[in-house]
Amino acid sequence: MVFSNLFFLFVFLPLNLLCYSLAKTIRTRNIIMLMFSLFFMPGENQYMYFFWLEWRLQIGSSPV
Amino acid sequence: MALADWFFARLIQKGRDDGKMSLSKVGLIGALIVSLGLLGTFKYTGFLAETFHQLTGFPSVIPQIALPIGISFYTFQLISYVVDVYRGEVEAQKKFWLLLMYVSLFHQCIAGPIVRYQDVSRKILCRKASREEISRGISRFCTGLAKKALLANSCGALADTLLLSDAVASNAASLSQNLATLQARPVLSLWLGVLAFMFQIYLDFSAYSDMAIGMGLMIGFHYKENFNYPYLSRSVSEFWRRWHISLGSFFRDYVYIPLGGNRRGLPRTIANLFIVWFLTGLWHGASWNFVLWGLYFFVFIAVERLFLGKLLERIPAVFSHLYLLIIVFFGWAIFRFRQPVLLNTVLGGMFGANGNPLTSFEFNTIFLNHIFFLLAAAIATTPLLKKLGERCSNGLRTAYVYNTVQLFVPPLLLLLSTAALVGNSYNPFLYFQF
Amino acid sequence: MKKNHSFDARKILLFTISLGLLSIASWIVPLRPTYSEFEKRELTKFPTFSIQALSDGSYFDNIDLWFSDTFPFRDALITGNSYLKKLYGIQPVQVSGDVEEGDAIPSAPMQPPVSSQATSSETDNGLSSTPEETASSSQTSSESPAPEIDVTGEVTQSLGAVLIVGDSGYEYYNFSREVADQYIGMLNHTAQKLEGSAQVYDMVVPTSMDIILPESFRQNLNTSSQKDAIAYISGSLSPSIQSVPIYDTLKAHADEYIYFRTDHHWTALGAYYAYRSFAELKGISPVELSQCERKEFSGFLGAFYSDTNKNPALTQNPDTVVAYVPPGTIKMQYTDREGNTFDWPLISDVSNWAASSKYSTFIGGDNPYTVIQNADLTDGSSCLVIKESFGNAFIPYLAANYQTVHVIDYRYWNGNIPEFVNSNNIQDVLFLNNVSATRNASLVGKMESLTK
Repeated sequence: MVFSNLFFLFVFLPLNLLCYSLAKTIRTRNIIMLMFSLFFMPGENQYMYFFWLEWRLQIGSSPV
Repeated sequence: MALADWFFARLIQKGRDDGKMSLSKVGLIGALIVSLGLLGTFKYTGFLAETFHQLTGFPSVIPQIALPIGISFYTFQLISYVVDVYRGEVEAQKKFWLLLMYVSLFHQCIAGPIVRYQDVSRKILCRKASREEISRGISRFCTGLAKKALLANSCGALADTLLLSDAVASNAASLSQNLATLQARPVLSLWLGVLAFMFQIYLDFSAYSDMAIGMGLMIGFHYKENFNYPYLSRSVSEFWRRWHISLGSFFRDYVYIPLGGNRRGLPRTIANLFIVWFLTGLWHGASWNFVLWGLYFFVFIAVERLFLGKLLERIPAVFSHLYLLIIVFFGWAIFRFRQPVLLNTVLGGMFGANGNPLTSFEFNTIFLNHIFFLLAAAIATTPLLKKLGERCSNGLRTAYVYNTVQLFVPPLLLLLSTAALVGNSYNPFLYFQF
Repeated sequence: MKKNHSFDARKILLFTISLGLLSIASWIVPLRPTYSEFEKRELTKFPTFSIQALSDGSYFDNIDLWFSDTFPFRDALITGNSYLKKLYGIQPVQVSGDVEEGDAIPSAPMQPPVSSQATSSETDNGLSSTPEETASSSQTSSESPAPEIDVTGEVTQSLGAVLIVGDSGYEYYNFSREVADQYIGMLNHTAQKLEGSAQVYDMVVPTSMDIILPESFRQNLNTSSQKDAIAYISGSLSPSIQSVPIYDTLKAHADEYIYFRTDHHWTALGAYYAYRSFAELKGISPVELSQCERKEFSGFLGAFYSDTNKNPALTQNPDTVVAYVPPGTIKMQYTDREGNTFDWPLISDVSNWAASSKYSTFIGGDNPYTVIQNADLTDGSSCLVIKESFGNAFIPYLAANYQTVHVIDYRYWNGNIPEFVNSNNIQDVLFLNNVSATRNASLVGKMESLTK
């Protein structure tokens, strides 16, 4: 995805700003930014994100 | 890569904290090997294999490896992180996911600026965007968007019409066809084409930095400026302090200075410069024309270092500006044409060596069709509008009007940019190969 | 500063509102267009889900494409953008698209080759391959025309570069020696196969670039001389083929409305003058325009308009499609690309059709096969016209002279023409192409495949 792209401007960015402003703690905000950034990465990272999420959820107590 | 570097950085930190520098060194070397190794593999294997093949005929099969986009940017970000930890300038980030966030942050992972970890480390856990910052961020973002959608894209289309489109030019299979097309281009078409490209690459790249900085501001991050009106420079050295500042400073802090900078005598300085510029060229792309481009600047910077710099400061500004613009102009020609034969055709054609006419009806028409646009693009490379804006916002009477107008500028730019982007299949991303 | 604070707040608010509104509008799926009238194509559809598509990233890429391609108010935004582009410069004359170099046209005609078909390859040397330019080497096609009135899919050939002078467009032409020779070879081969059974005619129609623009002006342009190209082609044909000479005829009427301003086609009037030349060559008496019923459809903005990204200069003086219905009891039937046949009027009422589609009034647009019967003639006369879209404006007049007119649009029809001619006892075979088709390798290649 690139910035000068309609999908980015009217789906990704508004959702990002919306979620970010709704989140209250810095930790949630950082998580949001991380999630959006991973999704943004072009190529197959979009589905890798799902795998990563799965991995995180599996690791019980994590250093977060 | 991020995972490995996170681990190594923590290792380095531990080494530092415990006073065991050797452990730190191990960490550093490990991180560098992994990071640069991955970068090299993905980006340069094909190139190296190709070059090797042309020299020695081996290997016979050139591996085609898909290039992860933005790899050059985030690799350098990670390297800067690891080295800064090693140098004790910043503490290693204990939480992997926070480091990952820094590296992968979509604001800058694809097209820079190369944000150093230490510049944002404090902001990672503690940031609050004031209204003023958000407002500035919005304006910055929208100006960047308009620069890209309205100006850069059209400059690109113009360059493609007057020269040869990038996609076609890099298609090695149609080389003879491309050659024929370029040979027939009138002289002025070639000059204006490269000029349009010169505008395009600045507007394009600085627009992405603008958008990144704007979005960063909206959530409280302060990224450093990446461009400072580089076409206003008076020397090549100055140009590289104003163009892609984050890259220049990366090479300065992590390659040039560690190699000794200019403190080990003149021959060593020149050698260091050579290495830095070779790498700078190579970073831009896995192709010899980029290396040539880097070394082209090396020559001028070395010469300026030797004696030209002082001369440039003494002569009237207009001459030094002209000097810089001409050098940068031809530099972009080298940058654009990957195959040497095409480059030679273009350079020759600029002086009529191909038997091509000075101008043509079509060129004159296209030029007239775009005359105001070109003027606007040229103004965009200068801080004229910005200075005007500052003057207005400071003036007593004009401040109110200016501020009111400023209210409507972002939505207007957003709308115009949308209109330009719709149905515009032409949206090239020049720094895509990074 | 306090003052700035409230400005900042308002700016943030305004921006958020505008971004929000535009975003929400873009999420409302029903607002998204599915078909672009002006580009005459179906816009990208939402991709179908599959694990495969998800894993190789193409699913998201296609969503991205769908999102951009079917953006709401797309046509309005494009039109708006084109008005913005008017500010770019001084534009009494404009060049749109990439102008290509043409080959030199040989002065002496080529000797007609003996028997074998020209074996030139499919690659062209005069055409660019950039996807975003409007240079042509292949056509884009959309759905076949439906009998209903509203939606129509007229086939577009994307044009070469277009020159806009004032309110009119003119298509650039670059001669391609290789393709021209291929065309000549195809015709000679066909004539040989039909020797003794049918008379072959060839008509190559020049475009407005050479006919309407003054010669002195045109000479400065990077466009090949169509007069020379047509002379080369007709001079290289075997003696059994009759070339219909229309260049000078059209030139003589250049001050009349014989070409459209916003479209690359000729008008029915231009086609009429060509028809008269044909009639003179064949020795039949042409129908007079005064004998025909005249129909008019205004507000036509044709291929030049869409191919130049809706250049506003062309909206200053939109075209009017004038059609003439020859007298007589004439019935027409066409077969569409799916094989369905429909009865259709020779000249149909397109008053309510989209501005870009009014040329379809002639013989129901472009269909693979059309047959026109004139019940008033019983002499068994028949002809076959092998054509692309230029033929449409010309063919109605033939209905006055032939009992049966067969029409094959070679771009969409499949079969063997010599066999078709023989099994239908056709006497005259007319190849009708505009000059740009004779430099288009895929078009000529298609003709070749039909005349083996």
